[in-house]
Amino acid sequence: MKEDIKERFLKKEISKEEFLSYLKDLKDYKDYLFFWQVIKDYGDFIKDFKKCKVGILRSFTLETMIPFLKVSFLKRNLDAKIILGNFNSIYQDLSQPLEWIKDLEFLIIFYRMEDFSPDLPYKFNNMSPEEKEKEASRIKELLNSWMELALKVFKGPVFFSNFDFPNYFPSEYYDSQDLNGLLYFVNKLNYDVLEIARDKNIYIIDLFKVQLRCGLKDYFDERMYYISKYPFSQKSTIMISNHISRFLKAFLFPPKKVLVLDLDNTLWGGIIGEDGINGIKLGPDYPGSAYVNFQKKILNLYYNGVLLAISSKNNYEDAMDVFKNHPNTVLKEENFVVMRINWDEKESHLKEISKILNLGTDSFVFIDDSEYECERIKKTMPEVTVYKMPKDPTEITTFFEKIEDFDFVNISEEDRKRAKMYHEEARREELKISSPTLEDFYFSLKMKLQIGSVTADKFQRISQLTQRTNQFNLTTKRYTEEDIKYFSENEDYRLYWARLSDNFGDYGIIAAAILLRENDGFIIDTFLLSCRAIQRTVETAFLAYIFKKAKEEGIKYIKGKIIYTKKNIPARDFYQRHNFTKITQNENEEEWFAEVNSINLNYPEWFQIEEVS
Amino acid sequence: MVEEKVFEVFSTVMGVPREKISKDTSVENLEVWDSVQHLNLILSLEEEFSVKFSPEEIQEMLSIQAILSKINEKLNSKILL
Repeated sequence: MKEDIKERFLKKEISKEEFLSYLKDLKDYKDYLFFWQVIKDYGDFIKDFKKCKVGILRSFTLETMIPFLKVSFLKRNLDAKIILGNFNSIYQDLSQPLEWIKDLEFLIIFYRMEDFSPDLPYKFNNMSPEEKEKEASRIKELLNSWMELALKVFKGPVFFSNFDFPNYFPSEYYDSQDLNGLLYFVNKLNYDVLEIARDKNIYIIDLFKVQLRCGLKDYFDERMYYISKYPFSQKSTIMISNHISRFLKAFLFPPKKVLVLDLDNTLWGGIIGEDGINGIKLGPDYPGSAYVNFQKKILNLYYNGVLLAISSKNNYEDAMDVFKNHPNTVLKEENFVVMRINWDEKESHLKEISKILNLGTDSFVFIDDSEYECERIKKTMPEVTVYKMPKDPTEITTFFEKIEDFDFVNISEEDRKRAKMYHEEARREELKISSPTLEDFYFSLKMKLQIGSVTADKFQRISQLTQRTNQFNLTTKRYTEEDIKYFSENEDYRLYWARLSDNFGDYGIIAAAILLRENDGFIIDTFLLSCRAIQRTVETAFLAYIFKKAKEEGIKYIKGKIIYTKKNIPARDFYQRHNFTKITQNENEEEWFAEVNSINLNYPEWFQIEEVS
Repeated sequence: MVEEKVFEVFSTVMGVPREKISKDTSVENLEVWDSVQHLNLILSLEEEFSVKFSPEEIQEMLSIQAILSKINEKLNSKILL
């Protein structure tokens, strides 16, 4: 840290921008300490930081780590209050329980092998396999009881550390060959503890992994352990602090959704427009191998549900040539949800990508090798997270490790499906943009609509639709599965559903209607469309089906209300568009009416309709 | 050079402006230099100079003078090796 800036910090002559930039870049042990001291004078620079209380119950000295934890959280725009439990009193702290535990956002239980079993590494070679098994069981039972206690007294996310490897090997080479060796023992113990933890939805602070990254020799400070029972070195103190704050941050901030990539000197070395497909660096030899590895890491992000997009100033054909024909390309066309490869400004690219995906640019990460493009986007779209691709290919790995924006804690089938849906929707949007008229667009979608009466297997989905649909929902009545079941068994009610699919994919069941027969009329109690299916004239087809059914039953008229909510403005012209007549109106709702035989409502021509009985 | 670096690290860790420190500064005359800060200082100096101090040495380095002399000693023995 430069002498000058530090003096200005102490004199409080620092601007907010300098403050935040210094915070982001600090990395030395002394700079963490310095920042921790001056932070008390800069409260208003961090007043917008998200606040959280982190409680740590521990079996060893952790006071030394507090400044580093605090600053690591600040680096991630989190103002964390770190509260330590009593020294080596985890069980007591949990059973009491300490009264501040319930007010925490996060609870961490932090312990080490030394505190459970201090002599283990030294007597290990003298223990029989049964004795080793017994010791492992003892430790697991103890941890299990702590876990149950923790879940009883705290309802938020709970974290338990796993075991780092002790600073002593009972034998230099034999242990590594021994299926009952200490190496295997610690690994198996960590695996078993993970199983127990995950079963209880408890998270693991992976000290073993941090130790691996740090290197065992640099991880411990034996001397500090002798002096104050604090085991960690300067290096591991900083690494553990950042590991914890990075992990907890992923709980507070959702991952970014879209990664927008440049092409030249980002996904390959060189410039495709100048070097040609044989001249760009992408292959088994350096520097091409560095870019191949980078592409593999990007592909892994794709598998994790991140949406990949391209923003490149290039000729479209030149660039696509690489994805289609280059023998070493890892990423292919289908991995990208939107590609903008033309000579427009990148700002336009990002705006178009945002529009097509219907996702805000504040969920975007932008990687480009050009200082100019990066600075431009930082200025014109500050909500986008920008990273400059390193010029030196050997720096790519370190660069990529620093990107925390796509950290996620859990991944579900839902998440994977959602990414797939974005891909399908993007293709539809692009088709719409390129269709001369809306009708052309509708025809080219080749939509298929399945419509029918609700059966028991659909109760859950219909109920879910009534609970979740806000925009295209005429009356916004929320129904449980039991309600739907009741309607379906009641002969005065009619329940209809519709399922949509097209050239690009299957939307599933996206429309529901609940009608009540009133003498020789139908009252539309519920008519809704999932927002995925709006602006495709599905509502017209669905209404046409209702009219058809009405005619079959000899129904003379159909009535329906529009009950106003803040969100259902898109639905308000529904009846008018289909030539109903308004019959009542007040400040909360309006009612519409149509005679079944006076309106000729047909299925729009671009649908293939399947009526399911 | 070593002297300037030591002053810089000291000033950073203690949160004290450069002009407030001199070769005479010690635990006796600087209130903020307590036992916690002392360890912080030692660990920071170790990182800065890539040296390591024993528990005994840590206990002896209670003034800027003592620190300078200890560090020079360590650095010289490194060169001699």
